[in-house]
Amino acid sequence: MRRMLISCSEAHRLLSDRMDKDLAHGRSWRLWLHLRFCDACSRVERQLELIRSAMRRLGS
Amino acid sequence: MDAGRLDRELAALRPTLLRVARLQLRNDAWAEDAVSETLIAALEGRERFGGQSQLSTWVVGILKHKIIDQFRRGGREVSVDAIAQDAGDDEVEQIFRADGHRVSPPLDWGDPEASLARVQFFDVLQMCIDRLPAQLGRVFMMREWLELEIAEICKELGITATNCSVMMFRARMRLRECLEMSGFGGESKT
Repeated sequence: MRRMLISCSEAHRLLSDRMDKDLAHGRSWRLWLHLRFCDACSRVERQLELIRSAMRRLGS
Repeated sequence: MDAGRLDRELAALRPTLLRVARLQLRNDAWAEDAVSETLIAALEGRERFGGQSQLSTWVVGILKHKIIDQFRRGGREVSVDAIAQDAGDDEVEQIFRADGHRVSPPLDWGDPEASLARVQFFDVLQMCIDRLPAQLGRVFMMREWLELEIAEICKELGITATNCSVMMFRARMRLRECLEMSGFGGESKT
């Protein structure tokens, strides 16, 4: 059986991967489930998005 | 915009452009060249600047195109070797315990829009990118500043897809830590 629960370290990695490509369905679902219950990873998700928005404006 | 005013405004943008170009190219002479070419192109193409957008946004767009063109022609963005094993693994791994939990929780950075409104945020962000190992910084800039697709970056640089995503992960984690250690979180709540 595939593990349904992933660790924060795995979730961080998937958060990063998701910014560059579509995740396979299973991974995407496991990440979603993890974020639903993990405030720390949800916070990191928002911070990575913030970094991305800032990067798009860099120099302008 | 009259020519004299455009000249002055472009000259004023030069330091900002140079700083960003250096972060991407990691080479002062190449950055100088790219920025000079950009400013010349802006002067020559002044009639194409409609004034609807900010002058800086228009000029940064030209700079990005110049760097991307160079990269696609296989010019100065030479091969990236041995990056996968680049220093920095430890630093990222220290964020987590063996069981995959974080050693310390991430801080609350407060309102994202408020952070972006602060000039200081961009300043610190650039300082943090500069502290990344050169190859990591270049790949990160290609993805997040030049907005190239990850597949193109890996292909042009001859890096496997897996190594590429490992690099992006490490760069993002290090930047996040660096921003947090530089005062984002806590302070921004005021």
